[in-house]
Amino acid sequence: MKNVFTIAAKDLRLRIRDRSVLIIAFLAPLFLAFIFNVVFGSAFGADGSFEPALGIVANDSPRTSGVLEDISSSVGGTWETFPDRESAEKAIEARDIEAVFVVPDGFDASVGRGEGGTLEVIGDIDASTSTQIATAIAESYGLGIDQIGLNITTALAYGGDQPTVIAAATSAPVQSLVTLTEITAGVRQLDGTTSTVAGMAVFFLLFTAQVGLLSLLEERRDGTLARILSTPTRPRAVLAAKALVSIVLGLASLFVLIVAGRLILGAVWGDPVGVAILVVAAVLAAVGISAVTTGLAKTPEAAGNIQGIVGTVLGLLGGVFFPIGEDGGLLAAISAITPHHWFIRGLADMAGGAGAAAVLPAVGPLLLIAAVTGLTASFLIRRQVAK
Amino acid sequence: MKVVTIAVSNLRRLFRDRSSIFFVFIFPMALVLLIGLQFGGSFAPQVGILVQEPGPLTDRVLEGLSDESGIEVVPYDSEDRLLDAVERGFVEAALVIPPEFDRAISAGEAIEVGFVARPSGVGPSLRPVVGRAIQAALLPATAARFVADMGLADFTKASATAEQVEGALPTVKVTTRTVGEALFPSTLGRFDLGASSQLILFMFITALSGGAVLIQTRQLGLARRMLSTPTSVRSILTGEALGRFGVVLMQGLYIMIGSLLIFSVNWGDPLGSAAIVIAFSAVGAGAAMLIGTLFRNAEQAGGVAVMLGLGLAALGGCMLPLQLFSPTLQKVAHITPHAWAVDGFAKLMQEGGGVVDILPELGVLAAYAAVLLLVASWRLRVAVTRA
Repeated sequence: MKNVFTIAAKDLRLRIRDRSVLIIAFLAPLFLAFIFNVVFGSAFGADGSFEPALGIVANDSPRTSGVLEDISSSVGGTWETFPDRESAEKAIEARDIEAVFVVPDGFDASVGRGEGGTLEVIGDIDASTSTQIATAIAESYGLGIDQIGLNITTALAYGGDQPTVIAAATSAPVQSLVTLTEITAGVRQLDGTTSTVAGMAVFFLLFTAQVGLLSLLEERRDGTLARILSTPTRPRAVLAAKALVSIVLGLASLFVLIVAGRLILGAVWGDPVGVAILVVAAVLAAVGISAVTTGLAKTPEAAGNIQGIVGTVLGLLGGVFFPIGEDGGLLAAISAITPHHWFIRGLADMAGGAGAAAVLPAVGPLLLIAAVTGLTASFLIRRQVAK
Repeated sequence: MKVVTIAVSNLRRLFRDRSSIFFVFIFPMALVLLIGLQFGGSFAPQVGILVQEPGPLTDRVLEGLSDESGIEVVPYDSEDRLLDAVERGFVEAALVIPPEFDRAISAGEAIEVGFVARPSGVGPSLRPVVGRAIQAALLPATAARFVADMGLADFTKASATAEQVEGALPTVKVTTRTVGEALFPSTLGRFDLGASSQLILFMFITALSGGAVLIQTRQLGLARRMLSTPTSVRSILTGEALGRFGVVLMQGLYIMIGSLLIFSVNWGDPLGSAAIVIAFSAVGAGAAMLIGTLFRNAEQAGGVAVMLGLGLAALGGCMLPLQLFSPTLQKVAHITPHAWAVDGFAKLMQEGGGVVDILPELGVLAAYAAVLLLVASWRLRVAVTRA
């Protein structure tokens, strides 16, 4: 047991002195998370909230203007009034607003007489969602007016008394058959910053986790492995020491990135106990996978190359760079075999404030990956050490 | 002649490593495919919908929703999965139509329909879009309920009458039009944006990884051995630079021609696009030479290659189109050579420009290449002769 720690401590010292591990474990993921955060945050807004910026031109139709404004603000939109169409269009082209309602002169009067009318929505060509929302608001308001007309006409067809029918149809809001009731949804999705930091952390974890094990092949190449084994040190102890170095480096990398992500970039991690459990499970899975790639290779260069491919492909499929196969389908099934997917999902499950227990469904698959790869690797590597 | 020999031997060394073949040829094309599949379609927000029991009224609501151009309707078959999809961000909002919907409405009874949206994002603003579709489908039923409430006729009869008169009434119409210039022309193909940005991203990463090979050249003592023959330092440097340039150019042309044949990517003017690839290959060769002089071992250079390769690509508009950057960030982005290459391709592929139109971009890229190569060869001359 003492031998294990001696070898591990020596390896750790060597690794830290060679600065490459510092680059892949700390510097690269943090630098990339920072850049991605700046780039994607600039485009999508930091908190991901959506506010359709709307406006109106409605000079003599205060009723219509009032209702449209009410509906717009009820969906979180901002509101601005314009004197004429030209100024409104200019505001759209200047990207001050995204869509504008143009109510023609005499609209209130026309619908009051039951003659209908035409509302116009002008939208920014690149703000299709806001334009669509504005159109839906206008149509919804128009349908409400149509409904009153239809109510009156149908009632009159059954011989209703005209003044009574009109009074009943216009005095109270239309009795709708359907009410949209809000079902409360929690949040099990990471915000942009946190998901970027988590993605980069787990992406580089697969490379950091190989560092310790890789030295097994280096020692074999350099002949120092044979020298260690000629002392009363069992092969299993050497293997354990190398795996221990990988685990320690992996844990250190994730720990530093999580703390730095919080302090420097403002990432929000959930329950610390849950995060800790996930980190340990993810590191074990990553070390397991890199142990297999190391066990398959003959030279340290080859092992590094295989790990490069495996780590990049798994990271991509695990949704580190962009969401993959979000819901169902083949890509989703493939994504579910990556540790990246489960690490990010575990964190996301706590995003709404759930406790540590929420990570357990993600920890299971991570430990399964660790167990399967660990067993395979111990078989592969034992054969290598014996050679 | 010696220059070419050095360049070719460099190439051969790179391609003997099979992982290079993967990253240079297989991975970029796979990524173009994946990104095209994932993002090439519409960006419309997705609305999940759960129909537990089909019926004519339910179908009308569904039709109304599917006709909305600004949203994409995704059917689900269980409420749990639907809620899960909302909470995890697979869909922005969702509608739960209860099984007794058709029965209740046909009997003139009021009913609740569930609407779910994640508090962050566009979801809450989609409420009027969803509400409008329901409102439109239920106009006659609502009128019939009004008539029945007034005691003029029973619901079923009034409902039939309302449906008959519905089409003949004056209505409020809504017209929508868009203004401004689209960020992306509608002619842009599904794979076009992904192919051009991946081309730039991978050419640069491949180039930087080549910097690590340069360090090997020194470590293996190749440089010293070459110097002991009648080979000038200049020949060695030119050969090394030519080797890097060749690899990057080969990859660039491969991605360009491959994506043209497989994904019918429209690269615009062939002369112009070839000019960008050549100029950017020269930038890549310069960066590779510089990386090769700055680090002590190949592992360090490899880590930095990935870090800078991905970081500069993100900042330069290869992961998110430059058009979506904030104005300040667009200026910052043009520190990278990537942004200039992206601009050049945009002019060729989106605006139908030719070589003359991209002269400014080509000029900037050439300047980058010249400065990088000069600095690198000065540093390398020192490194090679000292080592």
